[in-house]
Amino acid sequence: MAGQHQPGPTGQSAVAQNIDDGTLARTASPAPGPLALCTATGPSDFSWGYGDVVVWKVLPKWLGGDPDRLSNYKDRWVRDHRAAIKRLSLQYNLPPELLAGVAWIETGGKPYTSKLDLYRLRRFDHSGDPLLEPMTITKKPGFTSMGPVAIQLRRAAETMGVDFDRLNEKEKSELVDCLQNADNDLAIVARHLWQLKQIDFPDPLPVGPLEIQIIGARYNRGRELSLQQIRLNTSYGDFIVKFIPRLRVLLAE
Amino acid sequence: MNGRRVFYLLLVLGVLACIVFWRVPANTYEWMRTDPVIGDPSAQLPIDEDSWVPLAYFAVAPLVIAVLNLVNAIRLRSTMRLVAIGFSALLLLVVIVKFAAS
Repeated sequence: MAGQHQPGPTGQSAVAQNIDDGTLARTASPAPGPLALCTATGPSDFSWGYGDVVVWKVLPKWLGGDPDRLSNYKDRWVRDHRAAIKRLSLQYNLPPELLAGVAWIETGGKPYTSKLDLYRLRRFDHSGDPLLEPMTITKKPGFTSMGPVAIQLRRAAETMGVDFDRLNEKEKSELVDCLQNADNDLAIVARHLWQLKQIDFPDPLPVGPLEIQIIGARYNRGRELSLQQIRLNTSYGDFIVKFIPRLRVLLAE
Repeated sequence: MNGRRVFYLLLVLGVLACIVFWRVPANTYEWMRTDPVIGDPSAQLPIDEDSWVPLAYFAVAPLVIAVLNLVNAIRLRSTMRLVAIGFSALLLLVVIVKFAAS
């Protein structure tokens, strides 16, 4: 419900309170709080770095280069996290291929440390007096994608019912750390995908290739666009649909 | 080391730095087009607004070499000086073109 307040110090909810209706999420989720989905405390995932980019893209084969390094890494990442992907998909009543597809697309590619560096740069740029805001040259820190399965910080916060800009510095820092952990990252992305599904397909019907195409495109292009606008470029969702047979193999192994 | 030798050294390093920089993807999803197995050259790439960050890292080397080469050009004479300045301008151009295309 619009304007309803979430418990915790961060003020208004950006997401309807009844958002979990129709899923198993409410019973499985921890008690609501500003960063309710940040429950895992394992190590951060920085498994793709600049060295990998050099081996993948720069070095020739005779010098140790490997053009398949990225796709092998993505395959391995999805395979290693298939249990969590299947569990979360079941929880949100989504096909596992959707979450696995987003994970396959997003992992690797950009060195994970570069995301942290970009966040620090944007935070510094926007750390001055609000009156100086028009003089900033970078986007707001909340627009930075974070985590191995990249999701913008503001989207991750919205997914948990809070506004990133209203979080205090400690909570923002906790969210950044939270997303470095693959289990937290997947949990937030899964819930975000479910929320995106609700925009165009609120009925509790099974999610098929058509829905995957639209939800996938929304993951990349944003929840604000109309369905008509989304249909103009569904390349992200198209890729997931085309990739379903391979994703099934990775999830089954 | 005399200016001419430094220029040749920077020339080799500059070419290598440019090759490395040029090969770094300008869009994280570029593999959708270029991957040897799953790539489709006609694929429409998804949006990647932060793609300039890794690119910026790899741009540091050619830019530093361009500046060093310009400083060294002061020690060179006539034609060599022009060649050195031209090479620095070329390095700068490569960086600009790559960013413009990203």
